[in-house]
Amino acid sequence: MDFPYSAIVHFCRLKNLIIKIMTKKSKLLMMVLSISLIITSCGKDPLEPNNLVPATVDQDLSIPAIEVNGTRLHLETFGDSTKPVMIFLHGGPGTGDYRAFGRMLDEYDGYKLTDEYYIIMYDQRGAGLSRRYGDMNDAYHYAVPELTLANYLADLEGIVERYSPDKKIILFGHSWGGMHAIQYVNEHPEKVAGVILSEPGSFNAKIENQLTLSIASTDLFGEATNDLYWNHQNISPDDYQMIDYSYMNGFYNGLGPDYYHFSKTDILPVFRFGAIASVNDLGSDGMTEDGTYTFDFTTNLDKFTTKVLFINGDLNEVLTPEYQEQNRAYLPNSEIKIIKGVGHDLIWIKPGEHVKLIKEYLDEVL
Amino acid sequence: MIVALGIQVNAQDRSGILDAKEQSVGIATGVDYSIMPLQLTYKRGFDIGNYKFPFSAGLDVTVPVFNFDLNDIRVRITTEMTFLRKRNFEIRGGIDPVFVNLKMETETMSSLGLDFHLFTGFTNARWSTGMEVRYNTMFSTYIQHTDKYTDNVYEGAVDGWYKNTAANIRIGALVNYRVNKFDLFLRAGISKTGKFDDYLFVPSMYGIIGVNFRF
Repeated sequence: MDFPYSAIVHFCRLKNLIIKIMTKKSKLLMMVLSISLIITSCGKDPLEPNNLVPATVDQDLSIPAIEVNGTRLHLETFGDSTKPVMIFLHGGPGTGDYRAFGRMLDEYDGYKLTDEYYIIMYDQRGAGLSRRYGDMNDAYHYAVPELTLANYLADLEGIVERYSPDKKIILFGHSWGGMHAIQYVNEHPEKVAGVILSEPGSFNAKIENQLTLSIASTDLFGEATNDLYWNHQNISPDDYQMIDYSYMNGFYNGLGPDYYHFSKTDILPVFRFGAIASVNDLGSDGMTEDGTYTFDFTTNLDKFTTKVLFINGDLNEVLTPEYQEQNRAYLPNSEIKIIKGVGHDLIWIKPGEHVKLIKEYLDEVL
Repeated sequence: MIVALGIQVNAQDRSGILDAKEQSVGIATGVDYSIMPLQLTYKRGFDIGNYKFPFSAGLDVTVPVFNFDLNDIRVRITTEMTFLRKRNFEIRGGIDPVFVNLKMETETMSSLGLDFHLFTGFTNARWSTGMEVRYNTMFSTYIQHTDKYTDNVYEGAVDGWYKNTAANIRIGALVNYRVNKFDLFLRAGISKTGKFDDYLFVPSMYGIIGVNFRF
Protein backbone atom coordinates (compact mmCIF):
# COMPACT_ATOMS: atom_id res chain seq x y z
CA MET A 1 0.00 0.00 0.00
CA ASP A 2 1.08 3.58 -0.55
CA PHE A 3 2.35 5.28 2.56
CA PRO A 4 -0.43 7.81 3.11
CA TYR A 5 -3.15 5.17 2.59
CA SER A 6 -1.41 2.67 4.89
CA ALA A 7 -1.05 5.30 7.56
CA ILE A 8 -4.76 6.06 7.40
CA VAL A 9 -5.63 2.38 7.62
CA HIS A 10 -3.37 1.83 10.61
CA PHE A 11 -4.75 4.92 12.30
CA CYS A 12 -8.32 3.75 11.81
CA ARG A 13 -7.51 0.31 13.13
CA LEU A 14 -5.81 1.81 16.20
CA LYS A 15 -8.71 4.16 16.77
CA ASN A 16 -11.21 1.32 16.56
CA LEU A 17 -9.11 -0.79 18.92
CA ILE A 18 -8.97 2.02 21.47
CA ILE A 19 -12.73 2.52 21.24
CA LYS A 20 -13.25 -1.22 21.59
CA ILE A 21 -10.99 -1.40 24.64
CA MET A 22 -12.57 1.66 26.21
CA THR A 23 -16.05 0.43 25.55
CA LYS A 24 -15.34 -2.95 27.08
CA LYS A 25 -13.05 -2.14 29.93
CA SER A 26 -13.26 1.49 30.88
CA LYS A 27 -16.94 2.20 31.38
CA LEU A 28 -16.56 1.84 35.13
CA LEU A 29 -13.40 3.94 35.10
CA MET A 30 -15.07 6.69 33.09
CA MET A 31 -18.02 6.64 35.44
CA VAL A 32 -15.79 6.94 38.47
CA LEU A 33 -13.81 9.77 36.91
CA SER A 34 -16.99 11.58 35.87
CA ILE A 35 -18.41 11.35 39.35
CA SER A 36 -15.10 12.54 40.72
CA LEU A 37 -15.09 15.54 38.41
CA ILE A 38 -18.61 16.41 39.50
CA ILE A 39 -17.69 16.12 43.15
CA THR A 40 -14.57 18.26 42.75
CA SER A 41 -16.59 21.10 41.27
CA CYS A 42 -18.76 21.25 44.38
CA GLY A 43 -17.84 22.53 47.80
CA LYS A 44 -16.13 25.52 49.30
CA ASP A 45 -12.56 26.44 48.54
CA PRO A 46 -10.42 25.70 51.62
CA LEU A 47 -7.89 28.26 50.45
CA GLU A 48 -10.38 31.07 50.51
CA PRO A 49 -9.79 33.45 53.42
CA ASN A 50 -12.38 33.45 56.19
CA ASN A 51 -13.52 29.88 55.56
CA LEU A 52 -11.30 27.80 57.82
CA VAL A 53 -9.07 30.56 59.17
CA PRO A 54 -9.58 34.31 59.24
CA ALA A 55 -8.11 36.49 56.55
CA THR A 56 -4.83 38.29 57.11
CA VAL A 57 -4.51 42.04 56.73
CA ASP A 58 -3.24 41.77 53.16
CA GLN A 59 -6.24 39.61 52.22
CA ASP A 60 -8.81 41.85 53.93
CA LEU A 61 -7.90 45.51 53.85
CA SER A 62 -10.68 46.37 56.29
CA ILE A 63 -8.82 44.75 59.20
CA PRO A 64 -7.03 47.41 61.33
CA ALA A 65 -3.45 47.53 60.17
CA ILE A 66 -0.29 49.54 59.78
CA GLU A 67 2.22 49.63 56.94
CA VAL A 68 5.71 49.64 58.35
CA ASN A 69 9.13 48.41 57.27
CA GLY A 70 7.72 47.09 54.01
CA THR A 71 5.12 44.89 55.65
CA ARG A 72 1.50 45.14 56.75
CA LEU A 73 0.80 44.34 60.38
CA HIS A 74 -2.47 43.80 62.20
CA LEU A 75 -2.51 46.58 64.81
CA GLU A 76 -4.98 48.24 67.11
CA THR A 77 -4.73 51.11 69.52
CA PHE A 78 -6.73 51.63 72.69
CA GLY A 79 -7.21 54.76 74.77
CA ASP A 80 -6.11 58.36 74.46
CA SER A 81 -3.25 58.99 72.02
CA THR A 82 -1.98 61.88 74.14
CA LYS A 83 -1.08 59.56 77.00
CA PRO A 84 2.25 57.66 77.31
CA VAL A 85 2.52 54.82 74.83
CA MET A 86 2.59 51.21 76.03
CA ILE A 87 3.33 48.59 73.38
CA PHE A 88 2.37 44.95 73.93
CA LEU A 89 4.60 42.26 72.40
CA HIS A 90 3.06 38.80 72.14
CA GLY A 91 4.73 35.41 72.41
CA GLY A 92 5.82 32.96 69.74
CA PRO A 93 7.23 33.60 67.34
CA GLY A 94 4.21 32.58 65.34
CA THR A 95 2.27 30.63 67.96
CA GLY A 96 0.81 33.69 69.67
CA ASP A 97 -0.80 36.97 68.82
CA TYR A 98 -2.26 39.91 70.68
CA ARG A 99 -5.65 38.30 71.18
CA ALA A 100 -4.09 36.76 74.30
CA PHE A 101 -3.79 40.25 75.82
CA GLY A 102 -7.49 40.98 75.45
CA ARG A 103 -8.35 40.65 79.12
CA MET A 104 -5.61 43.07 80.15
CA LEU A 105 -7.68 45.92 78.72
CA ASP A 106 -10.50 45.22 81.16
CA GLU A 107 -11.15 47.12 84.35
CA TYR A 108 -9.90 45.68 87.64
CA ASP A 109 -10.72 47.26 90.99
CA GLY A 110 -11.86 50.41 89.27
CA TYR A 111 -8.73 50.77 87.16
CA LYS A 112 -7.83 49.96 83.60
CA LEU A 113 -4.57 50.53 81.76
CA THR A 114 -6.16 52.85 79.23
CA ASP A 115 -6.90 55.27 82.10
CA GLU A 116 -3.25 56.24 82.02
CA TYR A 117 -1.68 54.81 78.87
CA TYR A 118 -2.18 54.66 75.14
CA ILE A 119 -2.10 50.96 74.43
CA ILE A 120 -0.77 49.57 71.17
CA MET A 121 -1.19 45.92 70.38
CA TYR A 122 -0.03 44.35 67.13
CA ASP A 123 0.60 40.95 65.59
CA GLN A 124 4.22 40.51 64.61
CA ARG A 125 4.99 39.70 60.99
CA GLY A 126 4.02 36.16 60.05
CA ALA A 127 1.75 35.83 63.12
CA GLY A 128 -1.86 36.46 63.99
CA LEU A 129 -3.56 38.36 61.21
CA SER A 130 -0.40 40.01 59.93
CA ARG A 131 0.99 39.22 56.50
CA ARG A 132 2.47 35.77 55.95
CA TYR A 133 5.91 35.04 54.54
CA GLY A 134 8.02 32.15 53.38
CA ASP A 135 7.45 28.45 53.01
CA MET A 136 7.91 25.44 55.25
CA ASN A 137 11.01 24.24 53.46
CA ASP A 138 12.83 27.44 54.42
CA ALA A 139 11.23 27.46 57.84
CA TYR A 140 12.58 23.98 58.65
CA HIS A 141 16.03 25.46 58.02
CA TYR A 142 15.25 28.61 60.04
CA ALA A 143 15.88 30.55 56.87
CA VAL A 144 12.76 32.44 55.82
CA PRO A 145 14.32 35.65 54.46
CA GLU A 146 11.62 38.01 55.73
CA LEU A 147 11.32 36.50 59.22
CA THR A 148 14.50 37.60 60.91
CA LEU A 149 15.34 39.24 64.21
CA ALA A 150 16.45 42.31 62.29
CA ASN A 151 13.02 42.60 60.67
CA TYR A 152 11.14 42.02 63.91
CA LEU A 153 13.22 44.84 65.44
CA ALA A 154 12.76 47.15 62.48
CA ASP A 155 9.00 46.63 62.62
CA LEU A 156 8.94 47.63 66.28
CA GLU A 157 11.20 50.60 65.59
CA GLY A 158 8.78 51.72 62.91
CA ILE A 159 5.83 51.45 65.27
CA VAL A 160 7.64 53.43 67.95
CA GLU A 161 8.54 56.07 65.39
CA ARG A 162 4.93 56.25 64.27
CA TYR A 163 3.27 56.50 67.67
CA SER A 164 5.89 57.96 70.00
CA PRO A 165 8.69 59.59 68.03
CA ASP A 166 9.61 62.08 70.72
CA LYS A 167 8.67 60.43 73.98
CA LYS A 168 9.87 57.30 75.72
CA ILE A 169 7.70 54.23 75.50
CA ILE A 170 6.73 51.42 77.84
CA LEU A 171 7.12 47.85 76.67
CA PHE A 172 5.16 44.82 77.88
CA GLY A 173 6.33 41.47 76.55
CA HIS A 174 5.18 37.90 77.16
CA SER A 175 7.44 34.91 76.47
CA TRP A 176 9.17 35.55 73.12
CA GLY A 177 7.58 39.02 73.34
CA GLY A 178 9.65 39.57 76.47
CA MET A 179 12.79 38.65 74.53
CA HIS A 180 11.69 40.98 71.76
CA ALA A 181 11.20 43.78 74.27
CA ILE A 182 14.71 43.27 75.62
CA GLN A 183 16.01 43.18 72.05
CA TYR A 184 14.60 46.69 71.60
CA VAL A 185 15.89 47.87 74.98
CA ASN A 186 19.35 46.56 74.07
CA GLU A 187 19.32 48.65 70.88
CA HIS A 188 17.53 51.74 72.20
CA PRO A 189 17.82 51.98 75.97
CA GLU A 190 17.33 55.73 75.76
CA LYS A 191 13.85 55.35 74.23
CA VAL A 192 12.34 53.14 76.94
CA ALA A 193 10.70 54.43 80.10
CA GLY A 194 9.71 51.07 81.57
CA VAL A 195 9.73 47.35 80.79
CA ILE A 196 7.45 44.63 82.09
CA LEU A 197 8.33 41.07 81.15
CA SER A 198 5.85 38.26 81.71
CA GLU A 199 7.73 34.95 81.74
CA PRO A 200 10.20 36.08 79.09
CA GLY A 201 12.37 33.62 77.25
CA SER A 202 16.15 33.73 77.18
CA PHE A 203 17.97 37.01 76.65
CA ASN A 204 20.80 35.33 74.76
CA ALA A 205 21.90 32.11 73.10
CA LYS A 206 24.05 31.06 76.03
CA ILE A 207 20.96 30.74 78.21
CA GLU A 208 18.68 29.41 75.46
CA ASN A 209 21.00 26.64 74.30
CA GLN A 210 20.95 25.16 77.77
CA LEU A 211 17.22 24.59 77.62
CA THR A 212 16.47 20.98 76.74
CA LEU A 213 12.71 21.26 76.38
CA SER A 214 11.15 22.66 73.25
CA ILE A 215 7.90 24.44 72.58
CA ALA A 216 6.29 21.47 70.87
CA SER A 217 6.37 17.96 72.16
CA THR A 218 5.87 15.21 69.63
CA ASP A 219 5.08 12.06 71.51
CA LEU A 220 5.00 9.71 68.54
CA PHE A 221 2.61 7.37 70.30
CA GLY A 222 0.34 10.07 71.65
CA GLU A 223 -3.12 10.76 70.31
CA ALA A 224 -2.29 14.35 69.36
CA THR A 225 0.60 13.33 67.14
CA ASN A 226 -1.39 10.54 65.54
CA ASP A 227 -4.33 12.85 64.89
CA LEU A 228 -2.01 15.35 63.25
CA TYR A 229 -0.50 12.58 61.13
CA TRP A 230 -3.90 11.13 60.19
CA ASN A 231 -5.09 14.65 59.36
CA HIS A 232 -2.64 14.84 56.45
CA GLN A 233 -5.07 12.62 54.55
CA ASN A 234 -7.85 15.18 55.00
CA ILE A 235 -5.91 18.44 54.79
CA SER A 236 -2.65 19.07 52.97
CA PRO A 237 -0.52 21.79 54.57
CA ASP A 238 0.48 23.24 51.22
CA ASP A 239 -0.23 26.93 51.60
CA TYR A 240 -0.64 29.54 54.31
CA GLN A 241 -4.29 28.89 55.09
CA MET A 242 -3.92 25.13 55.30
CA ILE A 243 -0.56 25.21 57.06
CA ASP A 244 -1.88 27.52 59.78
CA TYR A 245 -5.09 25.48 60.05
CA SER A 246 -3.21 22.17 60.38
CA TYR A 247 -0.76 23.69 62.85
CA MET A 248 -3.55 24.98 65.05
CA ASN A 249 -5.26 21.60 64.89
CA GLY A 250 -2.09 20.08 66.27
CA PHE A 251 -1.72 22.49 69.16
CA TYR A 252 -5.37 22.74 70.10
CA ASN A 253 -5.61 18.97 70.08
CA GLY A 254 -2.89 18.45 72.60
CA LEU A 255 0.40 18.78 70.76
CA GLY A 256 1.64 21.51 73.08
CA PRO A 257 3.97 20.59 75.95
CA ASP A 258 2.58 19.87 79.40
CA TYR A 259 5.47 21.53 81.20
CA TYR A 260 4.12 24.99 80.43
CA HIS A 261 0.91 24.07 82.29
CA PHE A 262 -1.56 25.88 80.07
CA SER A 263 -5.12 25.81 81.37
CA LYS A 264 -7.22 23.08 79.78
CA THR A 265 -10.51 24.74 80.57
CA ASP A 266 -9.86 28.44 79.97
CA ILE A 267 -7.93 28.16 76.76
CA LEU A 268 -5.50 30.81 75.59
CA PRO A 269 -7.04 32.16 72.37
CA VAL A 270 -5.40 33.24 69.15
CA PHE A 271 -6.57 35.03 66.04
CA ARG A 272 -4.61 32.59 63.92
CA PHE A 273 -1.36 30.67 64.32
CA GLY A 274 1.53 31.64 62.10
CA ALA A 275 2.94 28.20 61.42
CA ILE A 276 5.85 29.25 59.25
CA ALA A 277 6.95 31.93 61.70
CA SER A 278 6.74 29.40 64.47
CA VAL A 279 8.79 26.73 62.75
CA ASN A 280 11.26 29.38 61.54
CA ASP A 281 11.80 30.31 65.21
CA LEU A 282 14.34 33.14 65.57
CA GLY A 283 15.47 32.91 61.97
CA SER A 284 18.77 33.00 60.21
CA ASP A 285 20.22 35.87 62.26
CA GLY A 286 19.26 34.24 65.54
CA MET A 287 20.27 30.65 65.00
CA THR A 288 22.18 28.34 62.71
CA GLU A 289 20.61 25.90 60.30
CA ASP A 290 21.09 23.04 62.75
CA GLY A 291 19.05 24.83 65.40
CA THR A 292 21.85 26.21 67.57
CA TYR A 293 20.98 29.64 68.84
CA THR A 294 23.36 32.54 68.21
CA PHE A 295 21.39 35.63 69.24
CA ASP A 296 22.46 38.04 71.96
CA PHE A 297 20.20 40.77 73.33
CA THR A 298 22.47 41.54 76.27
CA THR A 299 25.38 43.46 74.77
CA ASN A 300 24.10 46.85 75.87
CA LEU A 301 21.70 46.06 78.69
CA ASP A 302 23.99 47.53 81.31
CA LYS A 303 23.04 50.95 79.86
CA PHE A 304 19.42 50.47 80.91
CA THR A 305 19.38 51.44 84.56
CA THR A 306 15.60 51.76 84.99
CA LYS A 307 14.14 48.90 87.01
CA VAL A 308 12.68 46.09 84.91
CA LEU A 309 9.71 44.16 86.26
CA PHE A 310 9.59 40.37 85.77
CA ILE A 311 6.27 38.63 86.34
CA ASN A 312 6.35 34.86 86.65
CA GLY A 313 3.89 32.10 87.40
CA ASP A 314 4.85 29.27 89.73
CA LEU A 315 3.73 26.32 87.57
CA ASN A 316 5.93 26.72 84.51
CA GLU A 317 8.57 23.99 84.65
CA VAL A 318 10.91 25.67 82.16
CA LEU A 319 10.75 29.43 82.56
CA THR A 320 10.94 29.28 86.33
CA PRO A 321 11.83 32.15 88.68
CA GLU A 322 15.20 30.46 89.09
CA TYR A 323 15.67 30.43 85.31
CA GLN A 324 14.81 34.15 85.20
CA GLU A 325 17.77 34.84 87.49
CA GLN A 326 19.99 34.16 84.46
CA ASN A 327 18.19 36.89 82.52
CA ARG A 328 18.08 39.28 85.44
CA ALA A 329 21.85 39.00 85.84
CA TYR A 330 22.25 41.19 82.72
CA LEU A 331 20.12 44.01 84.07
CA PRO A 332 21.48 46.53 86.58
CA ASN A 333 18.06 46.87 88.20
CA SER A 334 15.20 44.39 88.20
CA GLU A 335 12.54 42.85 90.37
CA ILE A 336 10.51 39.66 90.06
CA LYS A 337 6.94 39.14 91.19
CA ILE A 338 5.38 35.69 91.38
CA ILE A 339 1.74 34.97 90.61
CA LYS A 340 0.68 31.71 92.16
CA GLY A 341 -1.30 28.92 90.56
CA VAL A 342 -0.68 29.73 86.92
CA GLY A 343 1.36 28.46 83.99
CA HIS A 344 2.68 30.12 80.87
CA ASP A 345 -0.77 31.43 79.93
CA LEU A 346 -0.63 33.76 82.93
CA ILE A 347 -1.49 36.81 80.84
CA TRP A 348 -4.86 35.23 80.03
CA ILE A 349 -5.58 33.49 83.32
CA LYS A 350 -4.38 36.24 85.68
CA PRO A 351 -4.87 39.52 83.80
CA GLY A 352 -6.05 41.44 86.85
CA GLU A 353 -2.90 40.54 88.75
CA HIS A 354 -0.85 41.75 85.79
CA VAL A 355 -2.68 45.06 85.60
CA LYS A 356 -2.20 45.62 89.34
CA LEU A 357 1.53 44.85 89.15
CA ILE A 358 1.98 46.99 86.05
CA LYS A 359 0.29 49.95 87.73
CA GLU A 360 2.39 49.62 90.86
CA TYR A 361 5.57 49.32 88.82
CA LEU A 362 4.88 52.24 86.52
CA ASP A 363 3.74 54.46 89.40
CA GLU A 364 7.20 53.82 90.82
CA VAL A 365 9.44 54.21 87.76
CA LEU A 366 7.71 56.96 85.81
CA MET B 1 0.88 -38.21 40.28
CA ILE B 2 0.24 -34.51 40.75
CA VAL B 3 -3.53 -35.09 40.49
CA ALA B 4 -3.32 -37.99 42.99
CA LEU B 5 -1.58 -35.79 45.48
CA GLY B 6 -4.28 -33.18 45.02
CA ILE B 7 -1.76 -30.52 44.24
CA GLN B 8 -2.92 -28.03 41.72
CA VAL B 9 -0.20 -26.25 39.85
CA ASN B 10 -1.30 -22.94 38.47
CA ALA B 11 0.98 -21.53 35.83
CA GLN B 12 -0.02 -18.04 36.89
CA ASP B 13 1.02 -18.44 40.57
CA ARG B 14 2.69 -15.22 41.50
CA SER B 15 3.80 -13.68 44.73
CA GLY B 16 1.37 -11.07 45.97
CA ILE B 17 -1.15 -11.55 43.19
CA LEU B 18 -4.38 -13.45 43.56
CA ASP B 19 -5.65 -15.77 40.88
CA ALA B 20 -9.25 -15.65 39.77
CA LYS B 21 -11.61 -16.68 42.58
CA GLU B 22 -8.78 -16.81 45.05
CA GLN B 23 -9.38 -14.80 48.21
CA SER B 24 -7.15 -13.42 50.92
CA VAL B 25 -7.41 -11.77 54.29
CA GLY B 26 -4.59 -9.81 55.79
CA ILE B 27 -3.31 -7.69 58.60
CA ALA B 28 -0.70 -4.97 58.55
CA THR B 29 0.81 -2.18 60.59
CA GLY B 30 3.68 0.27 60.51
CA VAL B 31 3.83 3.99 59.77
CA ASP B 32 0.85 4.86 57.65
CA TYR B 33 -0.46 8.33 58.50
CA SER B 34 -0.24 7.08 62.05
CA ILE B 35 2.25 5.23 64.20
CA MET B 36 1.38 1.53 64.29
CA PRO B 37 -2.17 1.67 62.92
CA LEU B 38 -4.10 -1.55 62.42
CA GLN B 39 -4.99 -2.41 58.85
CA LEU B 40 -7.31 -5.30 57.96
CA THR B 41 -7.77 -6.32 54.36
CA TYR B 42 -9.89 -8.63 52.28
CA LYS B 43 -9.25 -9.27 48.57
CA ARG B 44 -10.71 -11.49 45.89
CA GLY B 45 -9.42 -12.35 42.45
CA PHE B 46 -11.62 -12.07 39.38
CA ASP B 47 -11.59 -13.00 35.75
CA ILE B 48 -12.50 -10.20 33.39
CA GLY B 49 -13.76 -11.75 30.20
CA ASN B 50 -10.90 -12.74 27.99
CA TYR B 51 -8.40 -10.47 29.70
CA LYS B 52 -5.40 -12.64 30.26
CA PHE B 53 -4.25 -11.12 33.55
CA PRO B 54 -5.96 -11.37 36.92
CA PHE B 55 -7.89 -8.55 38.50
CA SER B 56 -8.48 -8.26 42.21
CA ALA B 57 -10.73 -6.14 44.31
CA GLY B 58 -11.31 -5.89 47.99
CA LEU B 59 -11.62 -3.76 51.04
CA ASP B 60 -9.18 -2.46 53.57
CA VAL B 61 -9.95 -0.76 56.81
CA THR B 62 -7.30 1.09 58.79
CA VAL B 63 -7.59 2.58 62.24
CA PRO B 64 -4.98 4.23 64.45
CA VAL B 65 -4.65 2.10 67.57
CA PHE B 66 -3.41 4.61 70.12
CA ASN B 67 -6.45 5.94 71.90
CA PHE B 68 -8.49 3.61 69.71
CA ASP B 69 -11.51 5.38 68.33
CA LEU B 70 -13.56 4.30 65.33
CA ASN B 71 -14.17 7.95 64.50
CA ASP B 72 -10.63 7.90 63.11
CA ILE B 73 -10.84 5.42 60.26
CA ARG B 74 -9.90 4.88 56.64
CA VAL B 75 -11.94 2.61 54.38
CA ARG B 76 -10.66 1.85 50.93
CA ILE B 77 -12.10 -0.25 48.13
CA THR B 78 -8.97 -1.77 46.66
CA THR B 79 -8.50 -2.64 43.03
CA GLU B 80 -5.53 -4.04 41.17
CA MET B 81 -4.98 -5.10 37.61
CA THR B 82 -1.88 -6.19 35.76
CA PHE B 83 -1.37 -4.06 32.68
CA LEU B 84 1.78 -5.50 31.31
CA ARG B 85 3.71 -8.69 31.89
CA LYS B 86 6.86 -9.70 30.10
CA ARG B 87 8.29 -12.81 31.66
CA ASN B 88 8.76 -11.74 35.28
CA PHE B 89 8.58 -8.00 34.71
CA GLU B 90 5.20 -6.47 35.23
CA ILE B 91 3.32 -3.25 35.66
CA ARG B 92 0.17 -3.31 37.68
CA GLY B 93 -1.99 -0.80 39.44
CA GLY B 94 -5.42 0.37 40.32
CA ILE B 95 -7.71 3.16 41.40
CA ASP B 96 -9.17 2.84 44.88
CA PRO B 97 -12.07 4.91 46.18
CA VAL B 98 -11.24 5.95 49.72
CA PHE B 99 -13.00 7.44 52.71
CA VAL B 100 -11.09 8.96 55.64
CA ASN B 101 -12.66 10.18 58.84
CA LEU B 102 -10.99 12.03 61.69
CA LYS B 103 -12.51 13.39 64.85
CA MET B 104 -10.50 15.83 66.95
CA GLU B 105 -11.26 18.24 69.74
CA THR B 106 -11.46 21.10 67.26
CA GLU B 107 -13.31 19.54 64.34
CA THR B 108 -14.44 16.41 62.56
CA MET B 109 -13.37 15.80 58.98
CA SER B 110 -14.82 13.27 56.58
CA SER B 111 -13.07 12.98 53.23
CA LEU B 112 -13.87 11.20 50.00
CA GLY B 113 -11.28 10.63 47.34
CA LEU B 114 -9.37 8.36 45.06
CA ASP B 115 -6.09 6.56 45.51
CA PHE B 116 -4.14 5.91 42.30
CA HIS B 117 -1.35 3.36 42.54
CA LEU B 118 1.15 1.78 40.22
CA PHE B 119 3.74 -0.94 40.72
CA THR B 120 6.60 -1.77 38.39
CA GLY B 121 8.92 -4.57 39.16
CA PHE B 122 9.63 -8.24 39.05
CA THR B 123 7.28 -10.93 40.18
CA ASN B 124 7.66 -14.67 40.22
CA ALA B 125 6.12 -17.46 42.23
CA ARG B 126 7.96 -16.54 45.39
CA TRP B 127 9.07 -12.91 45.18
CA SER B 128 7.62 -9.66 44.05
CA THR B 129 9.91 -6.65 44.28
CA GLY B 130 9.78 -3.29 42.70
CA MET B 131 8.86 0.33 42.98
CA GLU B 132 5.44 1.63 43.80
CA VAL B 133 3.98 5.05 43.34
CA ARG B 134 0.78 6.09 45.01
CA TYR B 135 -1.11 9.35 44.61
CA ASN B 136 -4.24 10.03 46.58
CA THR B 137 -6.46 13.02 46.34
CA MET B 138 -9.40 13.97 48.51
CA PHE B 139 -12.03 15.53 46.29
CA SER B 140 -14.42 16.45 49.04
CA THR B 141 -14.10 16.88 52.77
CA TYR B 142 -16.91 17.68 55.14
CA ILE B 143 -15.60 19.76 58.04
CA GLN B 144 -17.57 20.48 61.16
CA HIS B 145 -15.94 22.65 63.84
CA THR B 146 -16.48 22.35 67.56
CA ASP B 147 -16.91 25.10 70.11
CA LYS B 148 -13.28 24.66 71.08
CA TYR B 149 -12.26 25.98 67.67
CA THR B 150 -14.92 28.65 67.24
CA ASP B 151 -14.57 29.98 70.80
CA ASN B 152 -10.78 30.05 70.97
CA VAL B 153 -9.62 30.53 67.41
CA TYR B 154 -12.12 31.59 64.81
CA GLU B 155 -15.82 32.03 65.48
CA GLY B 156 -16.47 32.62 61.80
CA ALA B 157 -15.25 29.16 60.75
CA VAL B 158 -17.50 27.80 58.03
CA ASP B 159 -18.73 24.23 58.32
CA GLY B 160 -19.59 22.25 55.24
CA TRP B 161 -18.15 20.56 52.18
CA TYR B 162 -14.75 21.65 50.95
CA LYS B 163 -13.24 20.64 47.65
CA ASN B 164 -9.78 19.28 46.91
CA THR B 165 -8.51 19.56 50.45
CA ALA B 166 -5.67 17.09 50.32
CA ALA B 167 -3.32 15.21 48.09
CA ASN B 168 -0.46 12.91 49.00
CA ILE B 169 2.27 11.22 47.03
CA ARG B 170 4.12 8.08 48.05
CA ILE B 171 7.14 6.71 46.29
CA GLY B 172 8.82 3.64 47.62
CA ALA B 173 9.63 0.00 47.40
CA LEU B 174 7.38 -3.00 47.73
CA VAL B 175 8.68 -6.44 48.58
CA ASN B 176 6.40 -9.43 48.79
CA TYR B 177 7.53 -12.93 49.76
CA ARG B 178 5.23 -15.88 49.34
CA VAL B 179 5.38 -18.91 51.59
CA ASN B 180 2.68 -21.47 50.78
CA LYS B 181 -0.57 -19.61 51.38
CA PHE B 182 1.02 -16.60 53.04
CA ASP B 183 2.21 -13.42 51.41
CA LEU B 184 4.54 -11.46 53.63
CA PHE B 185 5.02 -7.91 52.47
CA LEU B 186 6.91 -4.77 53.26
CA ARG B 187 6.32 -1.42 51.62
CA ALA B 188 8.30 1.68 52.55
CA GLY B 189 9.35 4.99 51.16
CA ILE B 190 8.76 8.71 51.24
CA SER B 191 5.33 10.22 51.76
CA LYS B 192 4.71 13.88 51.05
CA THR B 193 1.94 16.27 50.18
CA GLY B 194 0.71 16.59 46.63
CA LYS B 195 3.01 19.58 46.18
CA PHE B 196 5.85 17.48 47.51
CA ASP B 197 6.11 19.37 50.77
CA ASP B 198 7.06 17.70 54.02
CA TYR B 199 4.48 16.93 56.65
CA LEU B 200 4.07 19.07 59.74
CA PHE B 201 5.82 17.66 62.81
CA VAL B 202 5.60 14.04 61.68
CA PRO B 203 7.90 11.96 59.47
CA SER B 204 7.40 12.31 55.72
CA MET B 205 7.62 8.60 55.24
CA TYR B 206 5.64 5.39 55.26
CA GLY B 207 6.58 1.87 56.22
CA ILE B 208 4.03 -0.93 56.31
CA ILE B 209 4.64 -4.57 57.15
CA GLY B 210 1.97 -7.20 56.92
CA VAL B 211 0.81 -10.63 55.93
CA ASN B 212 -2.02 -11.90 53.73
CA PHE B 213 -3.45 -15.38 53.91
CA ARG B 214 -4.88 -16.89 50.75
CA PHE B 215 -7.74 -19.31 50.67
